[in-house]
Amino acid sequence: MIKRYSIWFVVFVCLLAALTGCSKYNDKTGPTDAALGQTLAQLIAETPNLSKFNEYLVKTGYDKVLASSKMYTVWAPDNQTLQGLDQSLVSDTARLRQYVGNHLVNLAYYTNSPSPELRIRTLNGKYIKFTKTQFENADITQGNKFVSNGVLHIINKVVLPKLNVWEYVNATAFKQKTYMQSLDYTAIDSTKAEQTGIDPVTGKPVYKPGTGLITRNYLYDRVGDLRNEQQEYTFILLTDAAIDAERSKINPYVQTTNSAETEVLSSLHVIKDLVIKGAYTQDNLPAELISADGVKVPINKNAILETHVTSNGIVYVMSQADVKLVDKIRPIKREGETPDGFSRTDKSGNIAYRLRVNPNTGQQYNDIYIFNHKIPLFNVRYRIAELYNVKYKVYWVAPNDVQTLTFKQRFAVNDPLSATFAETQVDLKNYNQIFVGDYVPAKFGGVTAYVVAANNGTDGTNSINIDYFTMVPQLP
Amino acid sequence: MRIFTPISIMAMCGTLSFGTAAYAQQNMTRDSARAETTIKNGFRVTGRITDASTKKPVSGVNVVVQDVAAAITDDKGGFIITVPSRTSVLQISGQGYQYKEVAVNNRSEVNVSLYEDGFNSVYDLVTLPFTQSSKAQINYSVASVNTEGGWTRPKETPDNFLQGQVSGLNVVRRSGTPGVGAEVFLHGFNSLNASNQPLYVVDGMIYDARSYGSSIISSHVTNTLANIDIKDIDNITVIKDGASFYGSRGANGVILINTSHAKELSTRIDFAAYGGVNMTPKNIPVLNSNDYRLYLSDVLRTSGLTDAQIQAKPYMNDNPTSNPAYYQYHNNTDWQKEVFNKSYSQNYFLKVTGGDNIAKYALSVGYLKSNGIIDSTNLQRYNTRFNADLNLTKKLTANTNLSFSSSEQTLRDQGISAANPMLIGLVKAPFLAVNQISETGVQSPNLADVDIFNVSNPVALINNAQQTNKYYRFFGSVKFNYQFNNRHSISSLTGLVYDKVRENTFIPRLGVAPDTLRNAVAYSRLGASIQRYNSFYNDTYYTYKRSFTGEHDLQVNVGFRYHDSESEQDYAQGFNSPTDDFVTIGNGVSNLRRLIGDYGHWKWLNTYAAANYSFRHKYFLSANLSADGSSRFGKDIPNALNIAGNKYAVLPSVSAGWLVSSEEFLSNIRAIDMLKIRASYGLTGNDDIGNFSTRSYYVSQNLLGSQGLVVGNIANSQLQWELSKKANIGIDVALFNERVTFSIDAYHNVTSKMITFDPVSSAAGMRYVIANSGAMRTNGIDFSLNSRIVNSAVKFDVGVNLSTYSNRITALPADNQITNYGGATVITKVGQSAAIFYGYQTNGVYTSNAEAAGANLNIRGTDGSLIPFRGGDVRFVDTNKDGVIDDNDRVNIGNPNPDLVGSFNGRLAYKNISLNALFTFSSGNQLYNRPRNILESMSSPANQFGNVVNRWRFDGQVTDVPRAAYGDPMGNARFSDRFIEDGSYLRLRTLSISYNLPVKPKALKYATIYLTADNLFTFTKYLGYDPEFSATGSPLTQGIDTALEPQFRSAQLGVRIGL
Repeated sequence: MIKRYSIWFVVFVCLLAALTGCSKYNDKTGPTDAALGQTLAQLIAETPNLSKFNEYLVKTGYDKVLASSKMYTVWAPDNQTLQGLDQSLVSDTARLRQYVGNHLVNLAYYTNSPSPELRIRTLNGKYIKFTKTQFENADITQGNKFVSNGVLHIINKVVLPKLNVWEYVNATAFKQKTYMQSLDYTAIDSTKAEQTGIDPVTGKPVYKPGTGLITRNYLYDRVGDLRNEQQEYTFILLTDAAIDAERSKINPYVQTTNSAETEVLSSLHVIKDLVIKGAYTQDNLPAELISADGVKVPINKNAILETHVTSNGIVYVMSQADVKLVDKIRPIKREGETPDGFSRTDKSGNIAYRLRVNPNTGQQYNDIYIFNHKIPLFNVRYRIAELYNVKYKVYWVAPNDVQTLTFKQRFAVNDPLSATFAETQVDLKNYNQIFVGDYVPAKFGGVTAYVVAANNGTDGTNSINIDYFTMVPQLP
Repeated sequence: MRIFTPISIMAMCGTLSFGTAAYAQQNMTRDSARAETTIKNGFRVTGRITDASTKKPVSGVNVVVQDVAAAITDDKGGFIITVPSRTSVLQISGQGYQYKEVAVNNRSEVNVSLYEDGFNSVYDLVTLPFTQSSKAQINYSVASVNTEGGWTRPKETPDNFLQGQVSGLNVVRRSGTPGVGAEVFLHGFNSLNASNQPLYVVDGMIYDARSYGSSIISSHVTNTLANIDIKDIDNITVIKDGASFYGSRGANGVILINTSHAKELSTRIDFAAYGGVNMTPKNIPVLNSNDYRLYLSDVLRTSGLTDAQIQAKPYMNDNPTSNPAYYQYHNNTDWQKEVFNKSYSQNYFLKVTGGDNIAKYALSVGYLKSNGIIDSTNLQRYNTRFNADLNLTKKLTANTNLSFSSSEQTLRDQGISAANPMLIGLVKAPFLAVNQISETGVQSPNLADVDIFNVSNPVALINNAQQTNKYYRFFGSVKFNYQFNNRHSISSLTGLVYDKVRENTFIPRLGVAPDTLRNAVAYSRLGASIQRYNSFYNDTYYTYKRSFTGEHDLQVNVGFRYHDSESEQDYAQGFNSPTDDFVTIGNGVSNLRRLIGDYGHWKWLNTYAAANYSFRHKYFLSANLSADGSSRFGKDIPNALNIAGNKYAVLPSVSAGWLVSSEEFLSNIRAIDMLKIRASYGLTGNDDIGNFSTRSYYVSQNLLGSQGLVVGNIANSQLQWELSKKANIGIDVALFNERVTFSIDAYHNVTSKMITFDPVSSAAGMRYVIANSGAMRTNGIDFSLNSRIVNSAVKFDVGVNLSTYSNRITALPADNQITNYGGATVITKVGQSAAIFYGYQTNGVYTSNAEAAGANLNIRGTDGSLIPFRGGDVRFVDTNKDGVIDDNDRVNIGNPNPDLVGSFNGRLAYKNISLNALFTFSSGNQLYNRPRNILESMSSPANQFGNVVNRWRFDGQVTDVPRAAYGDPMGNARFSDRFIEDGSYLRLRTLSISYNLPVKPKALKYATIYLTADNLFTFTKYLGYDPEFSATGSPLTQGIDTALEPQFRSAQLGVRIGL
């Protein structure tokens, strides 16, 4: 009997040993795929075909990055590919780091991620393009080798970090480069300046002279920084003759009192329309591009002399970009309901920003209606950023749809009391555009437009009403 | 042995060896003295008594025919006794030996071998409400547990102690919190919405073990049974069938707990001291800092953040010089280690017993301190008990049982609560640190505040939260017994309970994520609560007991019980005290304060009659009848006994037993010592139907700042007790001189008139009415086996308890009832077991977008649009084939009821040393792992379960872990079979070694050393901390893991000395 039970005892002990031998979590929590136990650094080190790339990783210190607990994607050129790499680059650690960093990005991107294309910032700051089959212009020969901290793709071409648009332009000898450089100016960045005290009168901070100075560029202020790797541009680099032709075309209209300033403005007003956001490859180039200012830039593909793909866009060297003056110098329209200010700040109760319906067309419109304010010559002002040196015809729409009385209001530029424009009768329920008068700016630049109420304090007859006004240039 | 003055010595020996209820036994033997001379036409029996292990004769053993004859063995173990009948039963008892009953069965020579005292025998005495008798003579389904003083298991509460001791009794410990006790289910479930807790009767008085009111500390349960020190308990009897002993309160079975009284007159002093250690549980594997950060980049990417935004996060910048928060976010903290700590326990106990012929007393005092495994939690308890037996006159005796226990417990929130440090410890980002860290990496002693992900610092909760529970209970009774003569007696027990729980809570604002209330943001949270319960109890009965011609025995009890109980809970919640130094409720913002209360008062009157008849000690017949009135019962119950307008529950029961082994035809089969067949059928009730459900009541309602009263319910004046019909058949067998004994019971319990929440038309203004529209039945089998395997100088016993049941709902107001609890959904449906997990079926993870597109399944967006699944989403099974995964696709995905529960125990004894092992197991039950569901949701920056390293990441990857998706738009983490796990386990529940030190009798009477280990090994596949937990006592919430403090390993070393 004892024997019989001792067998059970042995069985029990064995069972106990078997059960205690394995933790219940072992088969549940470890990586089910051996690859998930590796880091990218290990995977690359263990892949014989990538020994060269691994060598460069170690040399540049990126191996430690790829061993860290952040997600990365690596497009690693294989050994054959790297044989074609310029040896001078290999020996220059800074350049090599730039080169190797061009193949590494944060986060994991698999070949199913692009649809159809992804533009991703690499660890060297440049952006690369990744499609389901390609890394820039290299083919992905083996993709989606995933490990714990990311994914590895193997590519078959040397992909050097590209210059950006500005770097590219800067490396050329075109006049346009000089014109762009001439748009530089010096500004103060108060966050970088050293503060020495506070002006006791104004209460404003006083900075140490010479500190916080930064160089800015009028072109970049307008269209975006061409050194920005994140933004893609289509940049038109005109031949010297073409750029000068364009400049001379615009030159009469940007006259100021200062001829040097006029030169700068000529450059700016030509080049600002040669920078278009978004990279248009030659295949996708439309017949005309629209610049940030809405200017139509006709593209004659035959005029394209060279095409350069940069890290942040495409540069077309062109012999012609004949922007029509009418496209460049365009009517200016201001909506009445978006004023920049009033002659007094205490009348907000008398100012209505309205949404109305035009009974003739059934269309909705927004306008501003100022009423019962009792202030003679009350005005509303609108800043207009720039007016070219050309005659403008001024029109407005002033519906006057709720009053029973007509009233008069006057348009003025720069001086609300100026009588350049005569008072204009505002008829009841008139939804049409009314001619107000002509305006010729003395020089190129920004102005302030005013709409001034009648010179009385009587309700109903000193109202202001503006749906919009427009200034139409009268080009020859 | 010395000279024998038979009767009085016999009385002494008898009481010593039986070890129970000295009082009753004394009466029994006293009666036998008077009756001895009346034998006529006797039958002479001779025999020898030997020791079962040494085979040597035993002298000085009493051989008695109850009330009639007595003899004592001589030096050679021989005895001669004249018995009145050839069917008489010899009762054999001797000091240090088991009690045994042997039927003469027409034999003139009866040889008996006896095992040592403490042997698990079929003749063990069992205490029943009115009598005490040998288990072999009982025709009910009962089990008796002798605690043997409880010295080896000092930490156990009585409910925990019962785990694995009784077949048919499924004891599921609520959690690992010290003293929190267990949910005890006898024979599965009997009710869905009423209590399933057995009725506890302590020293003859109903011990209301339910907690009235709920704790304001999340997921804590005040366990009233913890007031009873296990070392004060003498024995526990579990009455499993429907013997109607307690009428409308007996539906869930009855557990009688008898505390120990003085057994001898001489003064005895027992002192025991224990010290122990509690071990922290094994960590749930969560992601380490490295893997976590990799997961984080994946999940943040799906939240719509760009690469640059992700890289700009302070935890993504690995450059200490350019990142001022580098040191704050570059740690590897094991938060589970910060939450759990190894802790210590201690326990002291002193018992003094003694007395004289008039009065005997047993006085005990105990102190327990047990620290929890969640850092800074602990339990301290003081308890004292005074039990006295008084012989007031020759006929009037009295017993008192007075106990008082007071405890103070420091706790922390548990469960799915925002302030559960254990749960926060799992989800907290591992790269954060416990303390604040400066830009240069210098660690401050100040704790870190809520982190960048709005997750609390669990250490702030552990160190600075204050959550205490102070509890005391007085439970006392006095029982008078007047013995008119040897046939008639009358007894009356009167008792009182006074019980009070006071709780205070404070959750600080520093380091704890704020909670959003309806009209404010709660930073610090304060609470105070008082629960009060008191009751008056009286049980008075008349007993008639007679033996006719030695062949017929009859006992009749008629009496009534009256129980008047009152409970009240009041609690207040406050928010936003000025600083974390203001911790009491009065300091909260006054307009956010909430006051909530609850009151209950109920009365119960139970009149009963019980008759037990036996013929020739082998045919047994019992009949019981009770008629119960209760303030809870409705006035218009149809077809119920009506007395003066009140309705009474009339609940009869019968049971019969046949001791086949006492029949002549089996008398020569020596292998069979005892063979008994039992059958019983009875009606019992469950009165847990709500104190005021039969009446209409009003509740207070706040509407836009004004207070008013609104109708709180729809009264149901027909509401009655749940009726439980219980049929039980059983067989008890002892073979080979009790080397093998076993019992098998089969039962069929039918609950009708089951309490349900019947939905009513919305025009009624209420959602439901409480009615008796449900029914269920539970069938099951209990099996228990004990065997002495080695019986020599080494004694080796093995025991097995097995129980299985199957439950089926047979009636509900609707076809099914769906209940949501702790993130799980359970369905209770006619025709299947109650509370089946009801969720989505899954079939792995889509390996690619193309595969997902091929499956053509969608979910319905909030705007009604269809959103297709994609690669990395879970393949939910579209059971209704409509192409949309929604509620209609849910199916049964798991059953929290075990197929088989039970225990194995082994006992090895050799000379002064003995070793006890108790294994408990549960098999075939499924659990819903809510913490793992949270940890695998991959929808937020919370830390994740270790297998999330295998999450789906690219097209074609074959894995069983879905993709990380912020906010889980496709519901991959919804309640599905992914989180239903096998809850089977086998546990070495207790292993104890006791060693009796050889001491000089003059200095000490004895000294024993105990070494006990609890929960030493648990074999399970369950991926939570521990597979044993029970959030509430409701069958609807079983098997739902709500992140309660897990069971832990512990060990205690103790010493007990007798003076």
